[in-house]
Amino acid sequence: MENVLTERIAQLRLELKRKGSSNRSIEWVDKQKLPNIGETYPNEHVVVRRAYAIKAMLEALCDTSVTGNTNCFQIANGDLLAGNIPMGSNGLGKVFPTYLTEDELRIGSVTNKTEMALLGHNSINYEKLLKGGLREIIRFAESKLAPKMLKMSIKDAYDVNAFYRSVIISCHAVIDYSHRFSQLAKDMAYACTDAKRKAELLEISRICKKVPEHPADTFYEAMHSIWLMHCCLHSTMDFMSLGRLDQVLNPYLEKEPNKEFALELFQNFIIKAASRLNFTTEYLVEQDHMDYNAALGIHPYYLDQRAGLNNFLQNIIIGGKTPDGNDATNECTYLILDAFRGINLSTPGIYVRLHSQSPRRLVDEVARSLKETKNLPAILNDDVMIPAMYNALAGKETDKVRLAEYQRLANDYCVDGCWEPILNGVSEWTFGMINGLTVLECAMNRGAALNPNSELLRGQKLSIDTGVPSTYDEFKNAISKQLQFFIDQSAFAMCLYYMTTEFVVPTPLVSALFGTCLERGKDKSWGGAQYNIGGTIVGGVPDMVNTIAAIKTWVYDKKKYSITDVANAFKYNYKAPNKGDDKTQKLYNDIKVDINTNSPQWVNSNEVEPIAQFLTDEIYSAVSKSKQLAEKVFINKEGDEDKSVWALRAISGYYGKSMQYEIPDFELKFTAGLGTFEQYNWQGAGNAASAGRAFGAPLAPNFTPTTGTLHRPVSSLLASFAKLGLDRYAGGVITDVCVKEDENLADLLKLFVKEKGGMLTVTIASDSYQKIYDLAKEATESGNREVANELLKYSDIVVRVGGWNAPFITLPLSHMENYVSRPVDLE
Amino acid sequence: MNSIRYFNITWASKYDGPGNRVVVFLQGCNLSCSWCHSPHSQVASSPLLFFPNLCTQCERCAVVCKQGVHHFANGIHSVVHALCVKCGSCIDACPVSSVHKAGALYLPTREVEVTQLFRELEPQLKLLQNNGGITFSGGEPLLQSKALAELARLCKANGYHVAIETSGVVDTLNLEPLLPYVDCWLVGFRLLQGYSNGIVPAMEVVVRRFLETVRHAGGSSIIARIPIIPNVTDSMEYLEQVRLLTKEFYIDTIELLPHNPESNHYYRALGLTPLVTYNKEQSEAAYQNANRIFT
Repeated sequence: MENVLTERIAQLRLELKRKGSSNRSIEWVDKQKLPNIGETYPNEHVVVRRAYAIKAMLEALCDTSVTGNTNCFQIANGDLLAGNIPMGSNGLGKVFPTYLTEDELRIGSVTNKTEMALLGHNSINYEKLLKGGLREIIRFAESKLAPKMLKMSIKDAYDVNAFYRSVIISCHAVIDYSHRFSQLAKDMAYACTDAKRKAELLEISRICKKVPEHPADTFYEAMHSIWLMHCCLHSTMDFMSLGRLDQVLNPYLEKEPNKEFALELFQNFIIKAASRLNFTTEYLVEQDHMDYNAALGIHPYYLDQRAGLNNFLQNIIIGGKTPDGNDATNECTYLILDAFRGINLSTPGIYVRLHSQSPRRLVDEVARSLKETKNLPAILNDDVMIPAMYNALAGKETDKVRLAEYQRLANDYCVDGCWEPILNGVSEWTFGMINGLTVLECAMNRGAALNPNSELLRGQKLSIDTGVPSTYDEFKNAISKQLQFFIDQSAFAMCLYYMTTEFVVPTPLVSALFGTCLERGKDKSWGGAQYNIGGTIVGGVPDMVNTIAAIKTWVYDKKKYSITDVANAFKYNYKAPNKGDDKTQKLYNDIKVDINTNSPQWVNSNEVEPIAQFLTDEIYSAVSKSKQLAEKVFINKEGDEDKSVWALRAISGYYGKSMQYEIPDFELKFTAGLGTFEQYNWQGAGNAASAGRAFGAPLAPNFTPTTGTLHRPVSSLLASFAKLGLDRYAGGVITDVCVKEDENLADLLKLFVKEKGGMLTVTIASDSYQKIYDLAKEATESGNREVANELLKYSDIVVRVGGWNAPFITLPLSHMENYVSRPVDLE
Repeated sequence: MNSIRYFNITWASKYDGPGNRVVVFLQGCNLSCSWCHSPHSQVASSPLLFFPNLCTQCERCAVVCKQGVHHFANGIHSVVHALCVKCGSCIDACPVSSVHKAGALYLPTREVEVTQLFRELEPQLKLLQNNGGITFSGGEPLLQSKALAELARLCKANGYHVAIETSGVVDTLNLEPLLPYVDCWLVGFRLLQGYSNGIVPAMEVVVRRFLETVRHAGGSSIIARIPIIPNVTDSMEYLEQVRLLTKEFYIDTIELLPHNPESNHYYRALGLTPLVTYNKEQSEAAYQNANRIFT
């Protein structure tokens, strides 16, 4: 199929570009106009209040007196899909009715929990939606409602009845939303003078009356059903991913006689999902709707809002294997890939699963798409990710039936809204992040960060004192202990996070189509999903590898410097703190040159391989150890009878029962991942210098060699993966590479699969990045409107930003700088 | 265990044999062609290369050098190559030079064990396996024929297409160990060297014997790669003699190499004056003329 858009799609895309390039602040829903559900229903269970809030939001979106200029209740000219997602993003925040009570909000200040605390890192079961429709869900929930319990009760914290009521309310809210669009389409059809458009509107009206309430029968109905559900989820705080749409949609596509229409419809879908894009950064402050706890965890966590401004946590994943383990590539896989290739927008994210038996045609089509879009899609390697998911699930399980089920689930994995692999529509996923360079600083500096502020003496004390390592073995030992400390902290905080979300952010609409929530009568936030996976994602590992290699060489092998000298040189960014101290300055100069230019580096020198292996082994082992303790303290019901475990819980700040107290077979599968998402800039900002990196410079993006240090071809980087055992890391290990335009991409992808890399994003080198950076810098410094307008010409250039894709022109300058200095040349 | 000396690796070249190839440039040459664009490759170990545009004038090289090679005056860093003993201490001290890649100061010659070099090359060979392979160039790669044969054997045994770029002016003793492992020879047909204006009969004898040996062994193809350098290798007489040789040995693939406009690059880095200066008009005219002879 040629990369030519139909007039309809070209127009819709153009209109999105126009809107995205203007001031979108007027398109945001005004929270003041939304009802306060917490005040209206103070005695309802929070899950029911949440459902009422969903209902109120979906009603408000169709009420032009509330939504005004938001474009939410309209069917755009030419649009084949009804329903519009209001403005909101990972970086700019969201708008939703308040449903917590004043008390809940006040007490949540301790743990940083409000409505915004929801993490949309999941996908729901769209297959179930298409086959049964929401009506089926409602029928099921109604059958579970005991009539005498219809009176609400807040005595039981995990009130099954309240859960089912909330599911019914929220499913009805979606059905009503769709029906309102059905009526709107009919009204528009009545007034429409163009016979062709009139027929289209009548068809939209018919379909919105039918789905998602009832099962879908055609490709158009299936697409509409998924779109309306996705639209309602994203309109009501749940930024859910889209999952394996080629698997879900293929049975409908096979029956669809008009494949050109199917392609057009999918492209329409992409544009709709991308409708919240901002292409200009001029009007962001007015659009900042973030509150203090929009992120994960129990501590406030500052997101890089600029980098996340165009992230909506919505990904589509195609290809791979079926649950049976056969190749899953189908007609719809190619249709979706074609659709993305033609549209080339930064969202939704598109991921392709490849494995050693993937058809050559798929590999070639992926290569072609990468070449044409310079960035899409991202690749996941089934040969690594399936064993990783399987191992995380299986643990020490020996039951063959269960293991067989785990294999089916692992084969069916998908990806959440960032890039972490998750089980398809059945697994809850949460994660904590740690910064590897901070771990290393603490290993060098007795548990303190290398901060030059003299009032902090040695630096901020962040962890345990592991002494001053006098030999390389002691140094490695200190690193292992520090890793354990930080990974413990992250893993236990993750457990606490699990225990604090349930009364703040229940998700009845998600739970309606999520794992076993409905069958168990338990919301996702109550542990209702069948599988719960948690991961610790470690960033800056490539920086750690090179820094350890340099320290090994100069401190422990050649004994030219002491570890304290190197730590101080890092701390002071190689500038002697006292003016005129020439001796120290000379020492730091020498250290800088030796560390940065005279030390072996990951991939460039084979001798560094054991250090990369050491770190991947130690991180995995630390996560396994954290898992053991977390299970003992927070998860296993045996702990409820054990006084010493109660004491351990109290030390963590938790005084409740085990997770298995409520759900006897509850398990939290722990795993590890390596990457930074878009956080490499912000995380690095707090770190002292390290090998190849100045004080405060970004960390290495994801699991990619420190920027500017790779002097061998990308193939050498891929080859280094095979020895690292990345198939242990179910949290994912992602590498971002930049290659020349004439690179043989199909062979590169096959090599990546063969060498057992985990996940790969590819950007095709272009001199536009430098050009755009120069313009953006000028625009920022001068505030010149003409330059800002000139920038808009480049809004079609999409790049990878660690966790997702974004229009390059909307990135912060620091991200752009990192991009333009990435290695391209293979010589 | 054999070790091998090289001074550069190009990881993906479309100009050095069929398809897309890794090219390993081996150190050392028995000729000293006046147009050579890698003068530092001719000796057994390259002299210090200096690229002034990358220098930050920090003068740390001058502080550490015991031989007095580096001098700074009026903002100019000058290098006295004659005094250099290639100890590398200036590179160690320099903030913009590295053992990993060319910087302001660089000693490009590496000596590594054959198996280690193979390990380093292999990922890229795997990548290029379906549409290219590996080319050993130089210098004159056949001067290290024993180590090279071992490396070529490893490449061949793992299914990679092997090419060798040679002047052809090499004793057959150096050639024979390679014969079982080479798929393609890129032969330079050097019938003269230095400033010589005419064909050197002795060289022609050696080249002919070289070609006879390769053809006799069979199993490989030959590509003629003939440099067309104005006033040196562009005479009718010279080119006609080369053409006859190619015909005699049934060589159909002939690549004419125009004079490299960047041929000055390494002369400057070595503080030398190029023996042949590049002249665009002459170079293009000579190339067109040679093209007529060979087509």
